[in-house]
Amino acid sequence: MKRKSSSLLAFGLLAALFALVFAASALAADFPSRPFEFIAPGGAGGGWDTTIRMTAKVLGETGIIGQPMPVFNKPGGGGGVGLAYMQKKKGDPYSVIVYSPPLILINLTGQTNLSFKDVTPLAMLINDFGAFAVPKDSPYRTIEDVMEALKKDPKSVKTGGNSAFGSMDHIQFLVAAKAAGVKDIKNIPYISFQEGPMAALMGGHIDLLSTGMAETVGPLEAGEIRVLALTSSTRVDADVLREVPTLKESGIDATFINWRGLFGAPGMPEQEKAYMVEALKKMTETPEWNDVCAKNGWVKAFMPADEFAAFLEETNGTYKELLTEIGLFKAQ
Amino acid sequence: MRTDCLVGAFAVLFGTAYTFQAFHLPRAMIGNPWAPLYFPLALGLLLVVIGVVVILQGLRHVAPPKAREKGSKRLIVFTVLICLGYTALFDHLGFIASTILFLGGLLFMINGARAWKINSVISVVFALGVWYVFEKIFYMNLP
Amino acid sequence: MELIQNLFLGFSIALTPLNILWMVGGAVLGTVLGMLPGLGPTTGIALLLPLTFTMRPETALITMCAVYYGAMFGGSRSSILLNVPGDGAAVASCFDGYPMAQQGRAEAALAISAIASFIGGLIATVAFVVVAIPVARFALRFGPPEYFMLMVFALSATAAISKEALFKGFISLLLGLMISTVGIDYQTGVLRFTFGMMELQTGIDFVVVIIGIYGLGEVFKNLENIASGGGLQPIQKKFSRIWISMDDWRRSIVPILRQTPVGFLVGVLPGAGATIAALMAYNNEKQLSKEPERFGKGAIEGLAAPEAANNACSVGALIPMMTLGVPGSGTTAVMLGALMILGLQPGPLLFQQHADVAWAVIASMFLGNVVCAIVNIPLAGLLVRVLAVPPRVLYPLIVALAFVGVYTINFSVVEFVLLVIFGLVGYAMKKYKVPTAPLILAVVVGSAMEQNFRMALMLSDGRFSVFFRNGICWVLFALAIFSIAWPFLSSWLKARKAAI
Repeated sequence: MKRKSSSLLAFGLLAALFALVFAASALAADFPSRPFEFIAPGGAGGGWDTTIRMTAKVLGETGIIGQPMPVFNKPGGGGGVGLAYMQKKKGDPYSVIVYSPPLILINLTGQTNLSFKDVTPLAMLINDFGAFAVPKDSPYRTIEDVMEALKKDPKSVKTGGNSAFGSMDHIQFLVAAKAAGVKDIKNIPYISFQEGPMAALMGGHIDLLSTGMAETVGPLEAGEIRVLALTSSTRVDADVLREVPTLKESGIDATFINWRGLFGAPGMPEQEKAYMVEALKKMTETPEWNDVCAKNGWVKAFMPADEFAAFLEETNGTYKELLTEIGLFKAQ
Repeated sequence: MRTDCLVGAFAVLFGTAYTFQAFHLPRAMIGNPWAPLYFPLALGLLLVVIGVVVILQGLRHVAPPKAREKGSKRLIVFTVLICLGYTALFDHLGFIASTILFLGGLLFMINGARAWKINSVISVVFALGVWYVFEKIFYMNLP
Repeated sequence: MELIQNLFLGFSIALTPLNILWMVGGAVLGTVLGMLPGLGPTTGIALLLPLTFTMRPETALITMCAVYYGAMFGGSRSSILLNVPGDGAAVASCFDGYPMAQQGRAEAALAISAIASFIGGLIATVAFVVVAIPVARFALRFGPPEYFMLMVFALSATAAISKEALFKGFISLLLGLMISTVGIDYQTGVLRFTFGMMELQTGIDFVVVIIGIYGLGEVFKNLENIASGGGLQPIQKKFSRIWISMDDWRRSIVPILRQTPVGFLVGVLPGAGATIAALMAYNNEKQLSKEPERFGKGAIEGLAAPEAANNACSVGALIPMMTLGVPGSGTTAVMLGALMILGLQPGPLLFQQHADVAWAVIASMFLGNVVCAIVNIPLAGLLVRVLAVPPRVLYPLIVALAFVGVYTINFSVVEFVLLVIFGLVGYAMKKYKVPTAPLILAVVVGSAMEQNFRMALMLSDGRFSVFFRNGICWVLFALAIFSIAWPFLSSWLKARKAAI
């Protein structure tokens, strides 16, 4: 252990030295010439916070960006507070914020009148996928069984998730149900547990849990639950999840990507934007980033600014259609 | 007791206002449109009812007049004003400057202007100390 | 026998110098974070996350557990000394802890808080070893209807605690429930009482409420006194050893022993939490006490009971996470995330695949409690000296500390305004003798109570019979009725006894 900590120290020193050297070289160019402000629109320890802190860490340690990148938390309003904050930074290339699908959802459901168009997409970094799980003694053996039951009576399967009604866990199941041909998706009961949805599933209080795939690994390994399908387009290459079919394999033509990416302030100048996109691209190619992704169970998925913007536009359309159908869409 | 009547009256007023607001909450767009309203409405009405009960109880118990407590509310009012001033300045001046002003203001008011040396030292040390701890040890960034 | 073998294995792994060092470090960090209002174990563990990447899994877990216990020990320091609870679990420690400190018995208060925490934690850890798996299985039977009943029970017990002000207690309760309705309604996505402010969409954080009502409220009350010339003399000038007398010990030991299981059981339920545990323990002791009138005026048993319960609760909360892989609270969710990063998958298989790690952690819980107690007693000796600061200087500092603490919750100044409002509410409640405990508990459980009620009805397609679907519901319901009736019943019994 002792050796480990001293080598850690050496590594730290080296990293600091690197950072210094790169800081000096970065000073030659005019951007970046001062510290960044990295923003997590959620609290410490959450998904957004972890993503941006890890990004800042890798960018700094590998010396890709020489300036300090302190992370500030601006939680509230499901990310809306952070979005409002970015509006005050119009044209400032030093403010960078992280988002995921709620960026689109909170606008469509009327929680905020700001949308993904009010920030500058820089790059998509990682993907995570949804999973649909049932208790171990559930009568449903496959996701088709669930959909058949729903087609007969949309109220017959009680679904649940962690997030609020009309938010991610809910929407990802509706995407699947709609693609499977369930008619009255509006009537499918969705129960939002703010704490312990997995316990509710294992206790048999709900019939189906819609959640992130990482959450299902432990109970699945232990045989406490069964995962019927993942929302990824191809099978996920990780331990027990390898056995779980995708929706597509089950004959349901749908995917749901829980993407996470970085955004700049609205009206970010082109040159600085290009610099950041390039820096992020470089970062995703480093072994350090691979390591971080592996440890956190993230699927690497780099997508540069323009492609990312088009992807957002398309997803926005899909979600809007769904939310209109269940009556949650609020025009701004 | 007079104080009980006051508490009851407050409950009735607040309960009424809350119920009124609850009634104007947006309806749910799915399922029962009233689902998000039942609970707040019940709370509001119940508060009004209990407020009335407390008033009645207060009227029934005629307590002997208590000696008025001494003390003035002057400092409380000023403290609240300083707190609100801090709220307004916090994001503009940043943590250190606004906190020095804030704590300094409170100390000058409560501890007196004669102890100005101690007051100033405490404010500066507190602001810088907290800033250092948060920024360097907790990795939490203050404005 | 196997159990003892396993424990030996655990101790042998946990007791390396490096692990002990991290344990002490974690305990100190946790205690300090726990003391600061607004910060807690979640912050501490999130902070340590990057460090734990480089550690061995058992070292990382041991450190995180130490932070977690440390915060539980630390949370009540500021309750006792300043009437500023560090978190929800420490609210009940204000009720008798702060009066004790004001009467010059701060040393005893701090000592019993550490001792009760230690005993509570230790017994709960033994319980963890013996009954973890069956208890976790039992906890799974709690669904929305059972949680709803549990919350009804907790609330009715708290509202009934001050029978002389029963109706004012109900007003306090209703105000608390109203505060909890602010924010997004999770079942329908409707925004309630946010007045167009995005900061309010996720609701009002209850730490703001408790710091406002207790911390700021108390300062406001004392400002009246200072305005008329008081507050120059410190509360206490001479300090003795942090320890308790035999009499204190005799009064406290039974409450500690009987409220520990309460805390432990509440802790095992995902989604109940330490605030409920501590307040329940306090209520129970007040109702069981032969002299309930001493409570709230510096009764040492009124401090010992919640302290034991909240530590037992924090041990219990690790059970669903360790044995089922199901996090029960914000902190355990962060710990679960950390475990997965370390390549460990908590759950029943943890004890099979990584028995060494699992048992090392259990061993470290014993050690962690010992370390926390050892760290805390000298620390308390230092902290108690804050009472030597004249109130005229102390109160401005408390106000500033409250603001800093509250800012770290949401990093927004909206919380500042809320803090001032709740400070004034707390002041008014003291002035008009409205009990505060029902309000606090209502804020903590209000949202969950309403949501669980509606969730239960959604699950049953609108049939109310779901609330009485099994024995658990009936027992909780009976307890709720009994807790309201008991204060009246007991005084009636006393009157009858006296008559005979």
